[in-house]
Amino acid sequence: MYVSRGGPGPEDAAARTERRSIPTQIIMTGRRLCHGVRNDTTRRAVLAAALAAGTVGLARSEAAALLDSFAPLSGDAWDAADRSLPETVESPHGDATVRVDDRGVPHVEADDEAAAYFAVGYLQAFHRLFPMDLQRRVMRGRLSEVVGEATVESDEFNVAMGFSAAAEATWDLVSETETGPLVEAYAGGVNAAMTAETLPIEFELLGYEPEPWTPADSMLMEKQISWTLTGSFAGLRRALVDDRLGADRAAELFPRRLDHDAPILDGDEERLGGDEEGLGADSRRARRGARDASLRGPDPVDPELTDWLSGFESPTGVGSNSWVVAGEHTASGTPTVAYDPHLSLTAPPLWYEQRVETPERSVRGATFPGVPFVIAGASDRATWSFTNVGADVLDCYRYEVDDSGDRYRYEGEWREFETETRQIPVSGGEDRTLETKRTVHGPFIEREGRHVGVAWTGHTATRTTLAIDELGRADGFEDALAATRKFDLPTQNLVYADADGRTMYYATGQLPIRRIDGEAVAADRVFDGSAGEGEWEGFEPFGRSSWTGFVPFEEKPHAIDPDVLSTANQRVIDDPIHYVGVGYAAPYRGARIAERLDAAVAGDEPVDPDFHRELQRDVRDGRAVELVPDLVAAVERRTEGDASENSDRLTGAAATLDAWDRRMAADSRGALLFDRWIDRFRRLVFEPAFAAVDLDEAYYPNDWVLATLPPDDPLFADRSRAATMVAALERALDEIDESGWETYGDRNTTAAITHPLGGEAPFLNYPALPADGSPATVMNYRVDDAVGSSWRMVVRPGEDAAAVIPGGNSGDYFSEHYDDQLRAWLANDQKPMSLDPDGDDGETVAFRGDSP
Amino acid sequence: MSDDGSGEGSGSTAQPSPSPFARIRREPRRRAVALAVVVVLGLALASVHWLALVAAGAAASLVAPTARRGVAYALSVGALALVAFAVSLGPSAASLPEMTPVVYVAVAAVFGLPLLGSLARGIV
Repeated sequence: MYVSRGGPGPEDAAARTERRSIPTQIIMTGRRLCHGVRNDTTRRAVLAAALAAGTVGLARSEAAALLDSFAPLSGDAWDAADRSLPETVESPHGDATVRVDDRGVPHVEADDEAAAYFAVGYLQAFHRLFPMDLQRRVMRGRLSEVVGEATVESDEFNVAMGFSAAAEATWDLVSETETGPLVEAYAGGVNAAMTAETLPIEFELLGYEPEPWTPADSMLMEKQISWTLTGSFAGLRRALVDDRLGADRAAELFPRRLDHDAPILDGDEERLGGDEEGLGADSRRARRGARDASLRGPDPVDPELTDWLSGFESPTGVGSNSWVVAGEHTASGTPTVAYDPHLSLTAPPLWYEQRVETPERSVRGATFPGVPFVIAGASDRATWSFTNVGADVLDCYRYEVDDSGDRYRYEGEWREFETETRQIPVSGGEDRTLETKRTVHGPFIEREGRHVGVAWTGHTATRTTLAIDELGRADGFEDALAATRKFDLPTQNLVYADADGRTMYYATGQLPIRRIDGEAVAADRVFDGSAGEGEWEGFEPFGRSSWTGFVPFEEKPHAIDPDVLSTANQRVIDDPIHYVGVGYAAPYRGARIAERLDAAVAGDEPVDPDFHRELQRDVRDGRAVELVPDLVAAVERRTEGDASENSDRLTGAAATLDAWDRRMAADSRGALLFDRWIDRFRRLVFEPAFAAVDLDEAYYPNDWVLATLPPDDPLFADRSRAATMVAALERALDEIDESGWETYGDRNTTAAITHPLGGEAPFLNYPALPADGSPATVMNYRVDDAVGSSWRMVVRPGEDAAAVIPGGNSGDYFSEHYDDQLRAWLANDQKPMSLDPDGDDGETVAFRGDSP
Repeated sequence: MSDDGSGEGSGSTAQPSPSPFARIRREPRRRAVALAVVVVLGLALASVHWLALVAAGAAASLVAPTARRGVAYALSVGALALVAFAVSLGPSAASLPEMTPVVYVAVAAVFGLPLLGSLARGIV
């Protein structure tokens, strides 16, 4: 290759040539020509080869896929940067008008319900198609098809559990009702958007296109959220803990009834009916969660299988707050409901806000993308909300299985498993084949030679979709009560109020009654499936259940027209008519809410929405109230007469904690000290005893137990409670010093709120902002689990409604509504859930077509 | 790489035949027109497929009077493509700097592909 660096040009060369003699020129020129032609040809050939190889190589390499997606101008991913709703959409269900307000909330108006829900499907898909498809893939066990090997185990679990079959059974039931056509219209809207609109950027990042949405997929979303709220293998863990620690010690560390007096119901509320007549002594014992010592369950399921299954439960801390104050205590004279569900915090948020106006309904509020109807929100006459009960609606069974593994023993005879062979496609890996099995009770989960049977109330046709559809159309209390009867799944604390002044609390969801030898028993245990122990009468896995053996509606915990009532996942009632469960939350939030509500209604000032919003922002930590005085006293005793540097450090920290107001505020140093201290204290208290029996921190008791452990508890045998507290503070200070944190908000940030693809594409995550709140505060935020208030609303039925979402209503990264509510959410600065869309700059979509 | 301005070697006699681009390379007005055509066509085609960025880089370099300037022309085409890309994104362009790592692919492509194409300047 010739490389000339500013050398002579063609004219200079010609002049030099002229000065030479003709023979010499001829000779030299001839030589140069031959040599030059040879070299130049080589150079050109090399360059041509490099250009061709570079171009063809790029086109044929893996880089081509990247360039296809992200090359400037032509990259498919950039199409997603310019998505906007069309002005008109053809609808097979007739006309509808959608106005997207200045917070990205769609307001759908139509004369025909199906036309409205076609538009709802279109808008949900436009804003949230990727999360919809992702959840669908998770529940169907098709995640590895686009993600690869990393999610194979998740797919194996979800396929084995048969969620998709349960969704199909549910759709089979729903399709026969008047709700069915609305779900079909919704699915049609989703598919219309999928076809007509540019896909969100996530599909380009993963390199796939979604399959058409089906009505059964919407039923699958119901199963998904229900699993998140009630899918618990606590019975397996309890059996393991009993085995490892001994039943008596386990009963002390994991009490079936936490010692507090802040249940949701006092027991003197007005009821529809239902009583205890006819219940035997064992039933009364069972209902409190107590266990009959004479009834010993089968041996615990293998710990590896227990751990594996526990990995597919909901994250720690899923719960919620809700409360209602009757009109006689409010400024306007109408009841008020406040609500904030604590679920996984993700980008985009789990919830999607929408409003639908038809001649049959006027409803606004939050739903999960994929679900057509508002789940929690307000109509023009009422408002309703749901928090998790913590009810026990999943049972585990052990079976005697024959050597071939094809049959199980059931009530004295061998039965063949119902089997099905399923494929799990794996992107970039070897596809898996899984043989699923079922027993008379439900899915039979096998892993590495270990097995357990599962029965879950979601594994049958459920009417929850009908219930939430009817709640949105309810015209008063009786309609709402009728809708509540159909709310089969999940078990939720429904809090309701309407413009007529009616209020209601009802524990929704089907509650199984388990019997052994005819007597009702508690269910936090593993049942002997081969002996037919504890099985649910009237339950048909993957079919239609009659629910005949379940708790009658009138006998579920409820209260009609309660005056002031709050729920925070604590124990529902001290004396339920039937066993509900033992998986209740520690009462910190519940006690704090009740305390402040009682004080408010006892005061002279009427309670207004601002009070409720301020209460939702309450960050006083009940754990700190209990523990900090003891910690400060322990430090004082430990440092008395000690002038060392460590002593000064401890004394300074104790002084900060002593002066601290127990509020988990982002700008608080005391909150940071307490947060890190209780984490270390928990580990120091439980780790030695639990590690000795091979139980990790997932098995540690809750913080209520930690805070109330007496100084003479065996856990403090080797190191006193006070010494453990001081040691924990030393470790907490070490961690804080190493990390460079100054205040709580340095650690407690929204960096925990990530997008499912945020690891590979971190730009999709939300920005890191300091956050208030802890796992034990009313304003709930669990930075370690990315769980917290996933929606906050305050509603005065028939008057006004306000809400805020943790992030934004759009899942489109390029949309201004991707995270436009994040800061408002941190401050609980709620926006109106308006009946009249604000501003003139919102998008409007006209759905046009003839009704069928 | 040749840098003789005519597409010929360092000795004019090394070129067996004159470059078809010689006149364009010599005359600034023709060169400017050609370059403009290359840019417009190149960017238009680059919105269809990224290979057009290679072609645009090649075409821009071929009209350059020297190989070195050919490289500069190709990179200029890349810069113009980047500007056109940002404009095409509208308000979403503000998100680009945060969009790591995918924005690295875009930036590498917008300059790297025309640069690859500029190898053509040494061939013709």
